[in-house]
Amino acid sequence: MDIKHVLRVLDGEQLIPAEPSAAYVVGSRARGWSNNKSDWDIYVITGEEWFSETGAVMPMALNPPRVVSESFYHGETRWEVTYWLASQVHQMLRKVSWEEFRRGLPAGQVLTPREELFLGRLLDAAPLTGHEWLQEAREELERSAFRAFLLSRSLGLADDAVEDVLGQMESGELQSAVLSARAALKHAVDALLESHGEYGSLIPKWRPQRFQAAKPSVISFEDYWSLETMRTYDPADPTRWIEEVLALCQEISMGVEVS
Amino acid sequence: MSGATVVPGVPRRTWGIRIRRTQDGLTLGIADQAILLDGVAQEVYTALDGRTTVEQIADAIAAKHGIERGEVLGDVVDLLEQLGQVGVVDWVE
Repeated sequence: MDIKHVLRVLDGEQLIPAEPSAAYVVGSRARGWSNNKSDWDIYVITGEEWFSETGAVMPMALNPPRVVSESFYHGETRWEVTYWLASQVHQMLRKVSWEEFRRGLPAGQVLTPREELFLGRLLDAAPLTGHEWLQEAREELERSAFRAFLLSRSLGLADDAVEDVLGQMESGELQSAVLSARAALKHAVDALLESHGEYGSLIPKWRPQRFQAAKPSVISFEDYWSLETMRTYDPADPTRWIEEVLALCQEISMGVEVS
Repeated sequence: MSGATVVPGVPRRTWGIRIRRTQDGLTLGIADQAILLDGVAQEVYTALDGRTTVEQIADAIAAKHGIERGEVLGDVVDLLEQLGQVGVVDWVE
């Protein structure tokens, strides 16, 4: 990534405040998974709120209850810059403390999807400025129960889907059981990747890349991809593929430590 | 097999059991009950893939802990019977 080019574009649009705590690229551009049509997503961390006539205000469950986002096109590529207060980041990190985790609240009741995405992106962000702030935020995230929250949610959703599979198989609804097994596979693999610090289950299109980055020992990418693409599925005997999925769900549940 | 005990096939973890691994071991959730498996019990349960026989599981446990198969086989069978009774182990014919 050409950081100077990114900063030049942002400076040209006058979208970087004078002294940000940090500014960093997130998403596919930061991870090297982008293509020519990929957006540039930038997070800027500030001490004061960003005000402009062009910014879109997004409501948040934080104080203040909003973040502002600016978007523009540079050539044919869309750029989006979102401004977060450093104090909002600390609020999000407090939401995923171990004390909150032990209260038993599910991740969905603790963080909004946008907050979850923000925290998950801290680990693989590409800093433009404010390396020290970013490093401290990453360390705070690692000490938090963020991973445990997401892992518990994914394992719970996988269990629920498995329960559906078993009920549907018992009543002979094999087509529905196949769909439920697909859901169970998705959630179980999300849990596996989250156990390796590969967050982002809210954006499933990157699951293959996240899987290859995590390199889990429970199952190889080739075997996972075979299941995901249902290569062994036999329409005359769906039970075989379903049971392969159920077995993997168990292996993952036994292989990932929740806390 | 240990004594007159006859196992009904190859053991497998029952589908649909909610399994969680923590620092203490494996917690198995069955309805509103929970069972904690640790140590050798955890090793045995983890090995129940529906393909590995009871004898093979006992061999692996014995080899890992440096003891004779005969010393562990009966305990493995007893454990599987107990786990079967609480509904967390099935048998593949």
